[in-house]
Amino acid sequence: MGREGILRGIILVILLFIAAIFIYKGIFIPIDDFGTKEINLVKTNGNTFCQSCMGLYK
Amino acid sequence: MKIKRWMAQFFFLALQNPFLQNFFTGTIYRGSSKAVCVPSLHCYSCPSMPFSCPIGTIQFIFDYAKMLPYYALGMIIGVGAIFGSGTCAYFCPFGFLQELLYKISPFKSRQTLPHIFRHTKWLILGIFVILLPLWQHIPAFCAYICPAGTLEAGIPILLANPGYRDSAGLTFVWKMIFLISLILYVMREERAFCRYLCPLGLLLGLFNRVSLLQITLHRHSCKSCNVCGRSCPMGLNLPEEINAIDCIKCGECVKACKFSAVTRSLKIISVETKNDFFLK
Repeated sequence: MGREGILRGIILVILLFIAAIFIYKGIFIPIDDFGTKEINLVKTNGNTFCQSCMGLYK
Repeated sequence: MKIKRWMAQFFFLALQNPFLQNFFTGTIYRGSSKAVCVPSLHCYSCPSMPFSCPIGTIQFIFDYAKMLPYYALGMIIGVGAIFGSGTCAYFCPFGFLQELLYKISPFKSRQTLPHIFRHTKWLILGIFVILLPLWQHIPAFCAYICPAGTLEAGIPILLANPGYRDSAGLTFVWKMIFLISLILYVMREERAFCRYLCPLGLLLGLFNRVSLLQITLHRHSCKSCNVCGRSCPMGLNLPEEINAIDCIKCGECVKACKFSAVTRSLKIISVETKNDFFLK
């Protein structure tokens, strides 16, 4: 494994670590005093008709 | 040819559309899997879609919570670190649709827009996905641009729900004009939306240089015949632009090269092999 490979490996580990922290934060950490988590917002958003998706803004 | 990749694309298309009956009722799936973002431009208001679109999620979190969309970004960073924008080539149904349209097109062309137009994606990401949702509370990419939303959600839901049709105003007319224009242009230039406009492809492509999935050029085997460049569905200037931001790692260049000068592998260091399931 050359120097480029080692560097890429280190960057990959850092990226995967950041991704894991972000996803953990989105799933488990509340974003307000009501205990709402980001993933709740994603699910709520995905559960409703999005008017913008349908171009229903006048 | 592309048959193995098209089979994979069809499989993922089916995986992302299990609730086809919802097209007839004009309703959308409301189960718990809606909380899962998947790396494809597939509208979460599409009746058959059980997952969420990361670009829609990013706009919604910016608009509603005024905070960094950690969850969607975490998914994009994780997928990008492993596959780069390889999911565009295998997982995205809108990319698949563009390839099929180009395949059947009677007026396809090798001419492309000038290279500078590829930077339009940055404007789309900055203005429509980040700034306008943050400052104007408008999910602007979905509202004014996203052709996948118009095609997969807008048209079928308006068809199945007559009550919504009165709400369709100028914005819907604009989105229809944009969609039809795009479809016509995609039949001329392959994956034109991916090349010039897709913010999700741009975000995933940022990881192309370091991702586990790598395309590798072996310069000692390269005869500079440019066969790889002619095979690229993204119209990249190959082999110079291998693993560039716009590369979707589809492997068409690997298949096209008769000298094994281009290989693809899921390793930190690429090895000289064509041992790739989708290329056999």
